[in-house]
Amino acid sequence: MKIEENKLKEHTGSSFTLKKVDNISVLSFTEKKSIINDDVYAEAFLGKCDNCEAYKKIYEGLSYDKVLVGGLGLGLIARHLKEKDNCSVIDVVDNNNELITWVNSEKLLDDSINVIEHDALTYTPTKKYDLILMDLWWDEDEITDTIKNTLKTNYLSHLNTNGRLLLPLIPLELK
Amino acid sequence: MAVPGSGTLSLLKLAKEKVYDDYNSGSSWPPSGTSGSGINLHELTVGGQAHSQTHVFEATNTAGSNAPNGDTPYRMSEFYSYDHDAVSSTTSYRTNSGFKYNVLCASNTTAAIYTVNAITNGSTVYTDSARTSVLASGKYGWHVNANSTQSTHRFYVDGSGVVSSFASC
Repeated sequence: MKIEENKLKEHTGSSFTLKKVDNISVLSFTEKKSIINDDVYAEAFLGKCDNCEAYKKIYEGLSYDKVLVGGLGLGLIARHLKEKDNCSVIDVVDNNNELITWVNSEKLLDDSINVIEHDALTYTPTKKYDLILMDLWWDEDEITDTIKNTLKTNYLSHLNTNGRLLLPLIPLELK
Repeated sequence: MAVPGSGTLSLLKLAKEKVYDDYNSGSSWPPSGTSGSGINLHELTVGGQAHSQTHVFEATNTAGSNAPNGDTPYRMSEFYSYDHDAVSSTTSYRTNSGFKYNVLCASNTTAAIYTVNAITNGSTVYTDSARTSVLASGKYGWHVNANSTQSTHRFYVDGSGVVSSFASC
């Protein structure tokens, strides 16, 4: 769920920038790694699109209330899970201290959303989730077999019964 | 190479455009299998054969930016910019460029793009129906239908406008 544009001010940090392009905020980490403040971002990652059968399929039959998201960005996925899906537990893990500090200071997320500062690849959850969703990459070829195996080792045991560990970018369910 | 857009025209070169798809072709005239070398502007314009020993011209291709109208009086000037092997543009629609394919697959297609045939890997994508400007490099979502329809496919375009990674969403 996108953020009201009047809440977002242009910002230049050492690891990211927020710029307005045609009055829409764009969070950029590098030239080729940007996130646009748009509803479609979370809809895509949660399989809520009209024609993207492959992306919807990984969510078929899944209901979720407790969710862990790997990767913070603008917090668009977490906001959607809170505002649209009414999830009771939303945790976000990200290792970018500067980004977390900025998101918190700008009050972009509901207080009930818990942001954990840690490398998402090596984080060990302290609870179980219905959905663990990883949004850490930009290109498909970044997701190596080593990364998949690491994620499976770290997260599969922290899923509730019928829970799923998903990499929507590909899209893929890790089992 | 098509017929020039201005200047003096050669009837022989117009004939070569129709036969060899190249106004400046160095190929011989008449074409092999034809004994008579005569060229009649009527047949050159509308297609067909003037005499039994002359070449049978193909019909005029109207897919390009200009073509003779086929009406009398026939004029060589009607051939300016004529391209006998021109093909029509195929129109489809794209999203704005983005960085994650799943987001592009959920995005609406809002801008027309043009290809020679249906888009596929190896196609060159243009931003105008005359196919003079290629699409900027990047990742895009795609749909065959009109604007504001969520993508069914996605693709990548390189700096030359050439498509790769074309795949279903």
